[in-house]
Amino acid sequence: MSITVDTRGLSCPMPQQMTIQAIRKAKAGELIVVLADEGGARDSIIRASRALQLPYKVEKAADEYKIYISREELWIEKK
Amino acid sequence: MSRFWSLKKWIILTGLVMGVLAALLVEWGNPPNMGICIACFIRDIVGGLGLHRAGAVQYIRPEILGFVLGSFIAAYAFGEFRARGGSSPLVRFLLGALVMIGTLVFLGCPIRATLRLAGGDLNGITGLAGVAIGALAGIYFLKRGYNLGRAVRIPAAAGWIVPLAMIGLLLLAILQPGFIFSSEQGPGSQHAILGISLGVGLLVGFLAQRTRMCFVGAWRDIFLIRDGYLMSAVVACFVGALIFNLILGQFHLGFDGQPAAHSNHLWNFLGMALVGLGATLVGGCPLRQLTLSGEGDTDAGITILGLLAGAAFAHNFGLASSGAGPSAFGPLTVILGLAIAICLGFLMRVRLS
Repeated sequence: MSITVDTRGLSCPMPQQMTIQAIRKAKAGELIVVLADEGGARDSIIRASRALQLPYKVEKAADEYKIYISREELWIEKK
Repeated sequence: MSRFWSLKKWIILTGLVMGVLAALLVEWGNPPNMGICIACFIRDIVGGLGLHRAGAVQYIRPEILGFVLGSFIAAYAFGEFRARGGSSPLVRFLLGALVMIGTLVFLGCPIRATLRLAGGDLNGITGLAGVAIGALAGIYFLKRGYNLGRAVRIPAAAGWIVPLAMIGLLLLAILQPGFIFSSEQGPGSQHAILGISLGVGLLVGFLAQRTRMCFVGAWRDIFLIRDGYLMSAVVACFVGALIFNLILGQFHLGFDGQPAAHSNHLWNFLGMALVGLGATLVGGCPLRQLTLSGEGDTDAGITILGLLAGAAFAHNFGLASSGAGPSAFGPLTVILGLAIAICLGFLMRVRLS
């Protein structure tokens, strides 16, 4: 199962906010695929994944970025 | 390459360089505690163009031109120039104008609030507290679904407009035609030589584009995801400016008698709360709007026009504060601005396709 979050065309801070909401909504084990088309958005999404301590992978395709974030089975958000 | 620039040491270095250069710019001629201030400098440019007639604050500040052009160079060098626009431009214009009015009631943008504190002006604390609370209010709206909608790709020519306008301003600054105003006294008359100001702007603009430095996003990231990446630039800027202010004898501790500042805590706080809220809703501090417009973001360009309009209104209508304190209508406008920003926060929830 994977969830796609399309942040293309959106500017800061919306891409980061949508990513965080998707991570919180995702079920254990789900993969979140975030589409971004701007370097600043990509970096803010990476910062959110790092801050939430989730593994991520960035793929650059043509003019866009795909950021794969894995909502791990045992992940519990630190408050 | 992108991983390389997103390392924390680069943004710390960027903040340090900016803080040190800001302190040095004061030594080289800029007004005290105003080595770099995006709001003040845009206001000076508006005055230089004659769009307001406050005689003490008129000068085409080359730093601003440098910030945009430095970012433009970085964006092209690293393949990040993308002309785009169309995400609620008029709302951004309005928020830009409100942000400018907030800064001119406090007397400084979030960068200058940091630099004022680094020069010993304790009113900087009130200002930064305002930015933090404003950002926190902005996060409330983000969580409720606030959203300005998607921008679309547009031809590159549109993304060149703001950088080319900056080159136009540079020509006006160099050629000094008769219709350009330059203050004979007051803060507008205090400036480093053009080449130095432009050089500092280019360097900081380049680094700010690479590192995404933002003095409002810093607070947002702390509150929203407890991430200190952007905040490390603010701290580094403070430390760099503090050390060089001490070395250069520019550090004077206290609330009263600070240069281009007043000690009305309530309006310092609320003015900057408007800045923190407005800038969170518009997606970045005034510096970030400059660097984004250098990358081809025409929505950031519209926000800059809003900042320009806000500065013109602030001085033409006597909304800006002075060393003596807030003006008669400045506080009223801040309240109105907060009300407008809060309404936009509730109402701007563009449905995404």
